[in-house]
Amino acid sequence: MTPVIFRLTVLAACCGLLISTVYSLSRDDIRENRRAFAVRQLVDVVGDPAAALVALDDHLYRVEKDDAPQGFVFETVTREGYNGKIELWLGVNKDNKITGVRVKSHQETPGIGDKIETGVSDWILSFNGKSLESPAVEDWMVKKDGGEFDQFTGATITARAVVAAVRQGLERARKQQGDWQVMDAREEEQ
Amino acid sequence: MTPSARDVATRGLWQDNPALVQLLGLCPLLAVSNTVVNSLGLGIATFLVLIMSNLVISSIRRFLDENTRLPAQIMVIATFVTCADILLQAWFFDLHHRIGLFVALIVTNCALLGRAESFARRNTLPWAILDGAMMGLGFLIAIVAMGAIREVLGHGTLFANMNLLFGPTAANWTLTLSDNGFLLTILPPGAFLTLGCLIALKNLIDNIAGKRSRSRLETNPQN
Repeated sequence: MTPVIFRLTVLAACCGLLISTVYSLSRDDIRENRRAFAVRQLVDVVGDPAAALVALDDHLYRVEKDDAPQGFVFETVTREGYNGKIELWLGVNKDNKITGVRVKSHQETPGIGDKIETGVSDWILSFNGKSLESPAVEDWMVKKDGGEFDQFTGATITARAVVAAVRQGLERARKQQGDWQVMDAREEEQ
Repeated sequence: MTPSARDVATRGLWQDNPALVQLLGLCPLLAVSNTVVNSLGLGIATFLVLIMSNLVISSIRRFLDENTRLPAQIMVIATFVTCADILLQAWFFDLHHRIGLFVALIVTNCALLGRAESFARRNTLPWAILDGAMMGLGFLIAIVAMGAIREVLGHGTLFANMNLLFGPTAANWTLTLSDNGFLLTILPPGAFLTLGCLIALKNLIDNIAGKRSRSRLETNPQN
């Protein structure tokens, strides 16, 4: 039995070595891709490349220009999608108007539900400039449910979930903007 | 029983096509084949993993016995799938966003273990590589054909978002054939229907070819 176990062990060690080599060679690229992706999304959500982002915690940033708060970028999550949770970045200005929405992560069906990504369709841009006043709260629904927002073929559930999540995010922002204005920046630097 | 190269090629590409005849690897085949770019991404990943796993399993075949060959084969396949997943994240990050879930599932694609078990562990290195390449190509062609049919019928486009795979120059490769898609084809039932039609088409071609040369039919009765 010993040689058999020995052979398998050697094979497993070789496999492990190969994976760790590939991983350590690509680790920096992957980290850079993730970072670039996250930054690209945050800048898109703010809509103003000149503004500075101050991290208040992992899911909340204050947008500042000349040391004055301009608005906020925060994360909002919904589990009402077709498959798993959809994480969104939501950007609002001081008047609680949307400056941008982007999908941070999702597991919606490729080719159908992934139209919420900007790389696939422009749907998510339709939130820009909206607020809880315009359209009215009761119109924060997809057209199929009598609301204001387009759904897309085959993924009404996904669109419905995102619209509801954005509305809830706006409600949260309206309640908490005051606290966020004066909140201290996160201590530790990343 | 060393086969001829021509034999190995026809088997992988047509006669024993892993997707259309052996019906292996249906999970990725049905789930990912809704656009050409998704199909191509997963097809190429599967193709490369299959060649590499066949290569390694054939070269270590003398060290494996009845008891250890299955764990060893799965370990080799899983290793290359993990590498493919890592490299996809490093090189094609945006594509990984769309098909990443299914890349990890290549390991459960029975076509891979099937080739390892029935071919690579019994044949020498060059044959195993050739078999892996031909079976992989057969799978690649089938999944891209499914992707093309479903994208044309379901989205009304062809080659949309190819920039995810080929860089920014490919962004305008999209052919828009229609603004309206036939939704059913991109939903899961559409995947089964499309696969069924492709299998029927393949059998139809085989039948016609078989009738043309009766002698070939007689020497190969199972077809």
